[in-house]
Amino acid sequence: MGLTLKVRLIIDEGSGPYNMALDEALMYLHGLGYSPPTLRLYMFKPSTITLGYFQSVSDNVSEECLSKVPVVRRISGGGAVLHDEFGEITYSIVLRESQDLRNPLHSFKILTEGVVRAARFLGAPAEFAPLNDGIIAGKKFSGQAQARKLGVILQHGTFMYATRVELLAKCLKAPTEKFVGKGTTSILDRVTTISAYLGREVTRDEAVNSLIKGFSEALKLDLYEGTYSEAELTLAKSIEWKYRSVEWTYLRP
Amino acid sequence: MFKKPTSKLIIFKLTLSDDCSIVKASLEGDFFAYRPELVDESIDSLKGLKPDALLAEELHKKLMRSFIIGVEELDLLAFLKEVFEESREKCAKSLK
Repeated sequence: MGLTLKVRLIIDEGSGPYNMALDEALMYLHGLGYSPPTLRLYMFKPSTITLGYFQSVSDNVSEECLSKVPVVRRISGGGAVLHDEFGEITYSIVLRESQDLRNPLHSFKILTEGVVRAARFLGAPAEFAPLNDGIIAGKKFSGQAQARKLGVILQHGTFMYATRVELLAKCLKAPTEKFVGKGTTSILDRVTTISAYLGREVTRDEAVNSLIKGFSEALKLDLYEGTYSEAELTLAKSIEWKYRSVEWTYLRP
Repeated sequence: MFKKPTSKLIIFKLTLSDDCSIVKASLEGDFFAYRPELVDESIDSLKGLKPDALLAEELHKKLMRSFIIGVEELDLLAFLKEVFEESREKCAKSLK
């Protein structure tokens, strides 16, 4: 990323459909020139499983969790995620596709630097692992996904500062083939949290502050706190029905 | 199912009719596509057709236009051909 970019910062929380609808609305409205570039840091309340656009529900979510944890399909690709309201912060960043963000592989690396740097601020030796992961000592603490429309890139991703990994392992299913080349055979072996690595409880405030610092330094962002416009809230509200619908969630049963 | 250490997971689900034409198809996994609607359209367009190497190539061409990220172009082609060939053989055997 070149020069410093003025980017609106919004800290938020809400349900899965609300969060996904806002991310989508901000992408479209930024593409149409009605919204500024935005970094959202948000929590899922209640804890929610999001699925990548191409994933099937039954292959990726355990039956046990289907009745307990809400499931929402994203517009972005990538894998299933448990957004634990007690230990995970999700970020989304909406920016124009500048020259250096045009290449998808390269853009993952650039934008993931925000979470990598945030984890380092907290004391964990985080690094980027292609294609779309943030890792600490070989284990994943952050996964990213992207969607692109109207010349705009939306990247959203996780920051597992204290996610209950046992719950994650109980809720998410992964075929053994998914671990090819990862040196592990189960989700539990493959993921970590910043708290687990540091051996102390990282608080939500610490995590949020490190993300703000991480993104602003890594991407040279001049962040200012803002709120949603009426247009953004209206569009998000009208998109939210999609994320609440069974048809969308079970697009791939 | 296709997965390499450096790739994303790709699962192709195919249901064939009694005459071995495609009734239902689905491409699933944790890969990315920057025109996801094109992937869905390409997969939907398979209905009623018979799986063979030529169809796999045509599908591959269409999928590449959706900018699939997470799997090498040639790996995807080889995978599609393999799935189509296997399905065709299995169906042909069941007809005998």
